[in-house]
Amino acid sequence: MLFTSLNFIVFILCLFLVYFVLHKFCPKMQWTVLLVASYVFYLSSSPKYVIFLLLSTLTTWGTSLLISRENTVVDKKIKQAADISRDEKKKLRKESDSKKKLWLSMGLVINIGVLVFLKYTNFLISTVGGIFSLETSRIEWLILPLGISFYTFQAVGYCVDVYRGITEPEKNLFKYALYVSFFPQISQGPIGKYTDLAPQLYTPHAFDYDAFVKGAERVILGYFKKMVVADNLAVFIGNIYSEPAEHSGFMLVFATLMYAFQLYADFSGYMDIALGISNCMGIKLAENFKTPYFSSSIAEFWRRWHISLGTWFKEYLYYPVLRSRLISDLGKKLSKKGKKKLSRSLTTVIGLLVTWLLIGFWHGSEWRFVFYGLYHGTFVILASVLGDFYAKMRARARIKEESVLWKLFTIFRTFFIVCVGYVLFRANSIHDAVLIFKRICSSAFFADIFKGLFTEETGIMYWLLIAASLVVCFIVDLIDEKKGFITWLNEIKLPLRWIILYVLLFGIIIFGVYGSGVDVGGFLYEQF
Amino acid sequence: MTKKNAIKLTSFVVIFVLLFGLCSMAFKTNSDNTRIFKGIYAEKENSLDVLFVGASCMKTNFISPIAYRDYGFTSYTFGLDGICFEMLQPMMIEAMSTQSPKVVLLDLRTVSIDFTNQKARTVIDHMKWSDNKRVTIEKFRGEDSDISFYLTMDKYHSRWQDLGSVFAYYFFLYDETRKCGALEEFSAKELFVDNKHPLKGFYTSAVTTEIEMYKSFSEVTEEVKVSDSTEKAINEMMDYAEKNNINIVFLISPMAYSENIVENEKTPQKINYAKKLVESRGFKCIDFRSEEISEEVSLDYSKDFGDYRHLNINGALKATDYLSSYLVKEYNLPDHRNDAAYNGEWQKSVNCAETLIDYCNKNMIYK
Repeated sequence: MLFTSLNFIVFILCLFLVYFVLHKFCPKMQWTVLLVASYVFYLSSSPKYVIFLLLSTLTTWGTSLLISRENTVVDKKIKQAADISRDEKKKLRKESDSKKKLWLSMGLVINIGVLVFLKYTNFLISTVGGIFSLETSRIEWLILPLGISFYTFQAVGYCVDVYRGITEPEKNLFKYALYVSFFPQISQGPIGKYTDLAPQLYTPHAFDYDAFVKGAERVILGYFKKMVVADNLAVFIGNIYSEPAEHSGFMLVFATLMYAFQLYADFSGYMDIALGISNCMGIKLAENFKTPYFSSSIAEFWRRWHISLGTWFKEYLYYPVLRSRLISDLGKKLSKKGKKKLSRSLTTVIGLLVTWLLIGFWHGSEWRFVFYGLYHGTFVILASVLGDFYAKMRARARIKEESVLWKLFTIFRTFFIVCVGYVLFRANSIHDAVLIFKRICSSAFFADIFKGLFTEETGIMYWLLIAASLVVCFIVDLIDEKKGFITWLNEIKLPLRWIILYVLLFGIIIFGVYGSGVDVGGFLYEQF
Repeated sequence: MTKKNAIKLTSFVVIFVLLFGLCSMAFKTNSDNTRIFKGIYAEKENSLDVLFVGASCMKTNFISPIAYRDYGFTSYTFGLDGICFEMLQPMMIEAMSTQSPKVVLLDLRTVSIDFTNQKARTVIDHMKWSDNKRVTIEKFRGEDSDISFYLTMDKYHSRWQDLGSVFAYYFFLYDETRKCGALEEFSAKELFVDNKHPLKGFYTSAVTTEIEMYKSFSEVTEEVKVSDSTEKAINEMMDYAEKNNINIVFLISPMAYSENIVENEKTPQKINYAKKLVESRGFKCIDFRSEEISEEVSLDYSKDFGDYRHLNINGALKATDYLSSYLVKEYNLPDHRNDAAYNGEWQKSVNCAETLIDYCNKNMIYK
């Protein structure tokens, strides 16, 4: 069931009705409506692959219970043995920790293993084949189930939190199943934390007019971004990127720039819909975007773009890597030799390299995504390692960081760096990405320079629509940067607010890409 | 939720629904086709003696108000641009939901037009909800979703790039009837609320094209089989007419032969095939290409055609005169000219037509 289908709208409206009516009669069971709705959504979208969702749910739930039971058992043992020595207590705890680690490892291996198997087997086959010049073929039945990259991370994060003692495990399997499968976020995130999300899911929510209206406003904005901006831009970008050799470097640059807007509108549009729907029901999901194209550095960009992914990798990969024995021993060795700064830098670099390598892999089972991750990682690493050097150079050049010009420069610089990375992200293959870079950096930049700009599908009216919709998005983001667009919208006078909402609504209805015979193709991040 | 909030929410939704309805109407509108379709519904019940059903050549080649003026019978040219034969039966059934004409003339030239989903939708989306509409949807829906028949914006929203026809509908923008002031016969209520068609479905433009016949009618005798769906539609039409006792006559209205029409489209050849098919089942076919009719009508190929497929006003007058005379003789059509129930409204259409004829003759563009 696509978010942009009429079936989904009807589904949501029915859900709201049942959800709030049930609150009147049996508020404690209200969460069951969400569980049923989540599985209805999943089964309507990806029925064959619900087995993987169930597997992930059961294994991580079981793992968390086993870990928690281990805590209970060892606490009991220690309590019961009144005259146990400190060393013996330590030994018991160490044994318990090993068992907990074992349970956690099993849970992680199963879940990450399934994800890796489904997502990367064909990649591995083609890579090995490439290295040894062997003829290989894809295993066609290896298809990525809807949301597996997202719900696996969410479930794994929960397991780790239980292991770390941050949260108690959920004993009710069905409640836990809701946490893993909550439908607004299952296909593209945000990747939620159990401690933030679960209490909201299980707590009864009465109908709150303000929350409902704000949620609905956000949903409308999300649909505008997705159906008017992203899906219309897809037409032009698809034409250019499908045949990069046929287009000038200029047109490839322009298409890449448009892709930056398409990807943002698509992904953040989805987030607005997901968060808006949840908000209508009184559930606040984590924000996943904060006007990322206003970032002044790549590090800042990743604090504003797909925030939950960055947070997840930081908490469950980067910090554990830094704290791992291998890295901390290396750090200690270098510190002992008096190289404290090198110790800090090197351990940070290793941690960041591993993280960005895996972020690249997370995005897709192709080398171009790996290079994409490493490309961004390089800038983050350079900023981390050379931060002081950059500051000195700025001071020498007497650059005032607070100045508007410098701020604008850093924003454009960051945007440029991000766009270069998008060539890797959007190209159909690494070969195409290289070809695109070649055409941009050679005389082919000017070859038949405007070919592809005006076609049957992309005439003057099309470009006027694109320009107008991008201006709308820019204004929304500017307001968002200052105080939040939805907050601002609800502060202005009612007639103006309604005009804006009707403009957005009819913008979607008239200019949106939908309808019989139209291949909308879902959201871009669903493929991950 | 407080009462105030409930009112706000309800008002927002109500306004949205109203605006959505207006939008849907506007986007579905297709200038001539919309006006002609609404016009047939606007005709007084059971007031039409003759019904013409077909494509654009039906609306340009016969002037209903002039037929009334000169012969007294009432008619309507239910001609939709580019319509294919497959859609004639639903159109005829739809028109006959409020009319019981003595004879229905079906445009056999439509056999050369291929069926497309868009053509089906042109008819379906203008129909009022009825069993005929439901049956037509089932038969011709293609890949269109159910929802697109109820919420037509699903189908037509992409027409935002081409809303000229909406303005054309509401302001008769491209219509010679507006330019010559002929519409003054009718009030705004009659035109936009009652949806009366001022010329009973007739349309013309003040353009004359000098025709160079690629081949004469008698030179093109071969037959080319029409598509399976067209042939099926022709047989179904004849079955329907027989079963329901409807007097149908097939009409091959005046046309000219260009190289493209003969060699590429194979239009005359397909018409020949269809003509043979209908005549083999005992149905009458009035063929303006026949020597007998050609001689009697005496169309001037340098002065009487708007283009190769449509007559201009002068040609339409000749064709109207011939056909009206024939129909009156053959079908004993009534003369309503002194009937108060008819002559008020029909006289307006006659005045409108006369003004238009005058205008076209004075402002003719020759190509």
